[in-house]
Amino acid sequence: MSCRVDVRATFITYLVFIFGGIAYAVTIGLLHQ
Amino acid sequence: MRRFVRDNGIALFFGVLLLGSLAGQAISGHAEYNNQQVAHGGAEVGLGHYLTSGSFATDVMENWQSEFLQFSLFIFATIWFVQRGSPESKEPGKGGRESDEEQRLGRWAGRGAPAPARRAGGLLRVLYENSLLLVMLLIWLGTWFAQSVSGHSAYNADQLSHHEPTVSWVGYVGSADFWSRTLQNWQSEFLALGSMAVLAIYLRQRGSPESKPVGAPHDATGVEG
Repeated sequence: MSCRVDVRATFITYLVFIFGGIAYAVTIGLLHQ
Repeated sequence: MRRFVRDNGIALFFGVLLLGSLAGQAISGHAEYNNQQVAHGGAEVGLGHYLTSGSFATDVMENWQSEFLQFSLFIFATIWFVQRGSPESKEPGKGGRESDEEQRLGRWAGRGAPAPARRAGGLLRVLYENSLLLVMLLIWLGTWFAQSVSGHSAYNADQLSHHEPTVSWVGYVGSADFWSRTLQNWQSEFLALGSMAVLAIYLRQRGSPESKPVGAPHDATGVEG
């Protein structure tokens, strides 16, 4: 069970980083229009 | 903790490389940005200013989008196309979405199968059947859009510093700057994908699942080491 949770945390961390990066770049672009 | 590291070796290895490279890009990009500022008679800016500029954001996003396009296309193309002798390909004649039995769906779902895979059909199952490709495509479109928005900001900042007219977002998306940045990344990704599929026909890496076993015949297709 703990193994499955460990892997799930990795999966979620990657998705959060990716979509956080997209949100960052879009925000920067919109703020400097 | 030791178990976490052992079980997540690939994610941690590439995560550390990513953060290190991103930090290096930030530092060297900042230095280059200031070189350009000085060359154009402008004032140098701090690291924080550079990291919140469209210039840095679009440099990051133009590379991200091409990587996610690369993997989206690889996932899609390998459903339908075959490369004889490649470990990245299915066997010749097996192109297509395959049967429910081959994909262990519905009544063929075994113990531990994800809940949507157990369903006899329906939208939820269709979404889950294609979830890897759908999410990769969503990220590709998101990063490409982010490249366009931040690139638009950087492009206009550059135009203003040269006392030239700014362009709209639509104008930027049709500009040579946007497509040059986009296509210079795409071409390298397509070369890498094709090379990965083709070079592994005759070459091997002992122990890697990306390669066939060292002793596998050259015409063996879809065999992982």
